[in-house]
Amino acid sequence: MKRKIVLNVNNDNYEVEVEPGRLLADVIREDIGLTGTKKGCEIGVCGACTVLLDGKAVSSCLMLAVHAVGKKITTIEGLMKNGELDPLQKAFVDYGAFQCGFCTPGVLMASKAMLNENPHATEHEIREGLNGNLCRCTGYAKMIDAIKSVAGR
Amino acid sequence: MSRDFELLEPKTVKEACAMLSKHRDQAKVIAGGLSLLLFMREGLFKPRFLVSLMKIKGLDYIKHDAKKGLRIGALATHRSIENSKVVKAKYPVLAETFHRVGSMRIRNVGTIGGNLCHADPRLDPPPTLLALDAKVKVVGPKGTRSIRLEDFLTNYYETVIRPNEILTEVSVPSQPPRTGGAYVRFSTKTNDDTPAVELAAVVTLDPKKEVLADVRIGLGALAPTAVRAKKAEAFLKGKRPEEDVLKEAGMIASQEVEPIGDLRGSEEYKKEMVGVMLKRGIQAAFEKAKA
Amino acid sequence: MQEFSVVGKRLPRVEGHDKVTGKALYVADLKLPNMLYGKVLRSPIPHGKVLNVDTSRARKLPGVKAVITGEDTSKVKWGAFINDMHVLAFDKVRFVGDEVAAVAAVDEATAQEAVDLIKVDYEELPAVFDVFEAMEPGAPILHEGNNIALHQKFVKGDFEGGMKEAAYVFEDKFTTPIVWHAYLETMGALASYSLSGKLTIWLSTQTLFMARQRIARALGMRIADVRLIQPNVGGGFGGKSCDEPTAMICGLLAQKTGRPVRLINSREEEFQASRPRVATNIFLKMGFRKDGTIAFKDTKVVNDNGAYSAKAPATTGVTLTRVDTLYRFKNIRGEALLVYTNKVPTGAYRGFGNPPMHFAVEQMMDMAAEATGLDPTEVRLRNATQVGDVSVHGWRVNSCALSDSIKKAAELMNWKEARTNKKPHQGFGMGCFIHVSGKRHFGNYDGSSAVIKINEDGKATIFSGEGEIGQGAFTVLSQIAAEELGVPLKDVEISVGDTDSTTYCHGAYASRLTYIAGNAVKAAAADAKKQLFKMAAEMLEADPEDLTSREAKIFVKGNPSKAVTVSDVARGCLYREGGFPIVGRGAWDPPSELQTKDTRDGNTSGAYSYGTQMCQVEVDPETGKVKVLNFVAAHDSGKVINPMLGEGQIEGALQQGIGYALTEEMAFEDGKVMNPNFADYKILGADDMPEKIKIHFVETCMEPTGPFGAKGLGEPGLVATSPAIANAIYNAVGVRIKGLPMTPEKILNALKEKRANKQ
Repeated sequence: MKRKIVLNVNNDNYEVEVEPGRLLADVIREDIGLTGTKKGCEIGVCGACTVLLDGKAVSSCLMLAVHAVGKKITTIEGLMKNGELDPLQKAFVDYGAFQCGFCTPGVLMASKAMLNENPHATEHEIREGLNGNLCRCTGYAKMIDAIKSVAGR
Repeated sequence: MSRDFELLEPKTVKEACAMLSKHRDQAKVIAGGLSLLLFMREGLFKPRFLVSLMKIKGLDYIKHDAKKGLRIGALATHRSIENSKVVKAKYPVLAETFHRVGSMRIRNVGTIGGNLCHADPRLDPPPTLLALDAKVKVVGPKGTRSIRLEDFLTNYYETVIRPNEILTEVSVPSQPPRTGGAYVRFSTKTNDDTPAVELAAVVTLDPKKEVLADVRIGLGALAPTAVRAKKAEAFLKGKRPEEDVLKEAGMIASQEVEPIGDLRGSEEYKKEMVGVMLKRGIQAAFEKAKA
Repeated sequence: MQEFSVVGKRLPRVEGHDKVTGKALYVADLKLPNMLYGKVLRSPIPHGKVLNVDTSRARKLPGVKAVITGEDTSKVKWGAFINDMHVLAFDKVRFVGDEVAAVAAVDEATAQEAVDLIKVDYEELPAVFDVFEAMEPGAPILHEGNNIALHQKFVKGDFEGGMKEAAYVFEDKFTTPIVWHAYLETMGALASYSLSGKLTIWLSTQTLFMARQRIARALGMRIADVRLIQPNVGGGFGGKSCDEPTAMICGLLAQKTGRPVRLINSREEEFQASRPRVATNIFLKMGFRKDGTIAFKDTKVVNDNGAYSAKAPATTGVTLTRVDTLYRFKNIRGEALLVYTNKVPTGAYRGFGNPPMHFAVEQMMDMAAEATGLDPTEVRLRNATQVGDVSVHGWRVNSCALSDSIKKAAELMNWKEARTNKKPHQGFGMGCFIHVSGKRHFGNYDGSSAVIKINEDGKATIFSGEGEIGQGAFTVLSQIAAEELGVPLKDVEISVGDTDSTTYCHGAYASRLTYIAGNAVKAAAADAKKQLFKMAAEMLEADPEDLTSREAKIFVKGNPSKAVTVSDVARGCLYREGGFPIVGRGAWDPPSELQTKDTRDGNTSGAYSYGTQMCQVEVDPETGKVKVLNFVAAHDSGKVINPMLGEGQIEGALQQGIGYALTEEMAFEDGKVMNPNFADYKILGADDMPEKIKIHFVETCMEPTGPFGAKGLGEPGLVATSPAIANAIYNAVGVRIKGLPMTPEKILNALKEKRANKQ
């Protein structure tokens, strides 16, 4: 049976009507229309669906939308501030840290959460932190360089 | 995924048990939801009711005192345990183990209660919890039960929990002085792969710090549940961790498990790796205990 | 070395902002009004006759708008080289995952529910899963006649003589498994059909025009009545070159319902029913003279086609012959068999048949090094192809810096010293490679074409149907156009791939875009520039021959102070009597030839790229596990248009190559894929990659036929990776593994065998 819930995404409140089994990734993508969050595997392994819940990285493909009520959800669309790219986004562009771009929103959100917790993460910590995000295009090398450049500041 | 279920959101454990009593086989408990949603997606569970524990307050604590030891509320996330100051200080091997669970995303959402009740023998925390003599507290309409973890886990995805019970707490006794632990996770493919061997070694040394006065070894991914290598433990007790001693202990431990041959290794290979990881685990735990 | 303004610069990707802000739209992000959702029913058995498909219950489900089966299709078989595929099964199913029926419904869940309600009666037939069993008399036959889809044989040079000259002979069997592309975005399509007869499909594809042809054939439509539009594509690596029927099924559902239909593969479907890398059995025998030069090579290849051919016939030919232009082979004998089995159909994946043979040959080069006492680099140098060579198959090598790449890699790795003073259980290994820049095998054309319009504000728009799949084509083609026109990169944009508004070209495969599309774009830019200069000459009262352009200004050479802007010229050409917009057109087909069927003679590509990879590994002697510590890649791709993007391509290829070497393989049980997900099919994560990767572009030899000297770059990065690691393992612990992946267990068993043999 559908119920009305309010989800706070990127500081905006969205009222949606969902069945209890509806996944957060689908509500964000289809109901709210923010398609930057991707579905790559639907089993929580690839990280393409990463969003932040109260600042913490979670797999939106493995979360009921109703469990996200009352939390601050941040998607890739919420990373820019006042029309300016986040330093991580800018670094990714400058360092060539993406290719096809499909994993990129998830990687950026995971990196953002990582640096929020550990602003001066070392290369080893960055590698480990990226371990839950799969990429098939880049070999991760330039992602690590980009994140390092932001962590180093 | 089944859309035909109702989500119930009790505010207390008592309320949750009552709902489970009412709906019995038609209901499943959901906490973080990671394992449950995966199974529902595969069509392995088709519950008509999901009893969500996420509105129950006060079940995510991590407490420690010298007498009662460590007590962790069932809804504590892997991440909170990994980062907990008291866990890092008093049970560093547990913090290390929880650090290895899945990815950051999994650790932010997955709960220790959900992990233990899902009872997948390939998950990381159980071997270490077993090696630390963990107990679980299970609450039902008829009262509370305290069950040793090794009695709690019975088979693949099976525990002794009754359909109307909720696991509320995991406790680990205080560890004696001169105790050290190590968690070894050996995967044959990538670092995040399900391991071929999980081994937790917790040793307590004699006052001279030369002999293994007490040894506890938890093994995972090698049997229908995580298990203790009791025969290997008995063999090692009272001995020095020398090369030949550890080698024989490894062979004994490898006979205590029944690994399944798969893409991560054949049965023979995995058994051999039990021996290698036992040696490395005991050596590392020994060093930690000496410090 | 020529100095360029835009070419050769480390410039950010032109489509970057959309990708880092989540604005880039992939097919699963697209929605049309009134859209339905499609789902496919796939065979649960590996081989069987389809007796009856009962869709009655599915049709009755509320929200279901169409259910189609093989009876709804034209029943015309199609395929890249052999027409053996159906759109939906109408006679037999031949692998677990074979498409049988499809549903369009108001949402995904309803579509899936309807699929589960379709009842199919199969007459199950015996199945065969092993290529050698499939060739035996009495084996279950998948198609007609026997299970051999392709058989080619040749002998070249003085084979018998070569055998006599050999001082050292090695003979071994090498095997490589089926591995997946594992791109992050699964295959998907959004189709919309107009009653005027036009079918529009937004498709995650890397080959628009060829997809259009195949879709039209399979649906019985006129080619130009199918319009293919490429949204952003989340990786392809060869797997999205229209060798499976997703687009056709989606198109049929759109036709049937009269509504747009979006059909997206789940990850499991992707693993079950895309077209992964062909598995090989390579029987290799090589003879070397005392001086380390190759006396002869004898190869037999038995490849696993799976249930349908897709690109495997061409892949098999490549496995057999491409390596023959890496060294100066003269006396060779080759035979290849491509065999049908009831497993997932194999096809094209980065490297296209080349990596498996390099895994074999490059290990034998090291065996020769050991036998002759020569350094592995020296054995390669003594056999290396040089500029101007015409190889044993008639391939013409216009540019080649192979020898330079060997020396450079050795310098970067500090090769001699490293191998002499290495730590226990550590080893250093190398591999060399050859690859193509395009391949002529889809008819007698391997070209590209482009149109460039100069907008009235001076900005150039490139219309190219080649598309972008993440490899950087948009940026590289824009740089080439900018350089040719004499404008900054920000004054060039490139269109979305759309078969209606762009001109015929073949798409992204065989590392052809920089080289072939680059030349077409350069030609179009040159044509636009010619028109610009003609008008500018009038405005400047000068001779067009005396003009040059730089930073969007056109002026007489040596007199930059008196200039007109590109915008001035574009307007000037337009706003006058008889005015017209400036539109440049260009086309380029490389100087390559269609190969003969058996011998593969004929210059298959216009240019060949070369290179050397070296790595340092550490082997755990108790577990057999390999850690790759350090990788050096010295690649000859001629002039590299954008080194930052070029490095990214090689770094990504290394991730795939190391996975191929150590962790990836498809597992089967009775034809069913047992690891169809990322939890059980392991691709390398960030902390599995070597911490030190050094990439060097050996720009000592420009490709004369390439745009600004460039040639192919996209695929080679993983061709020599697995033998480099195999050779490093041998250098570390003295065991040689001849089957991929080189798992810890295989290495440990080899170590035990070695110890046992010593006693």
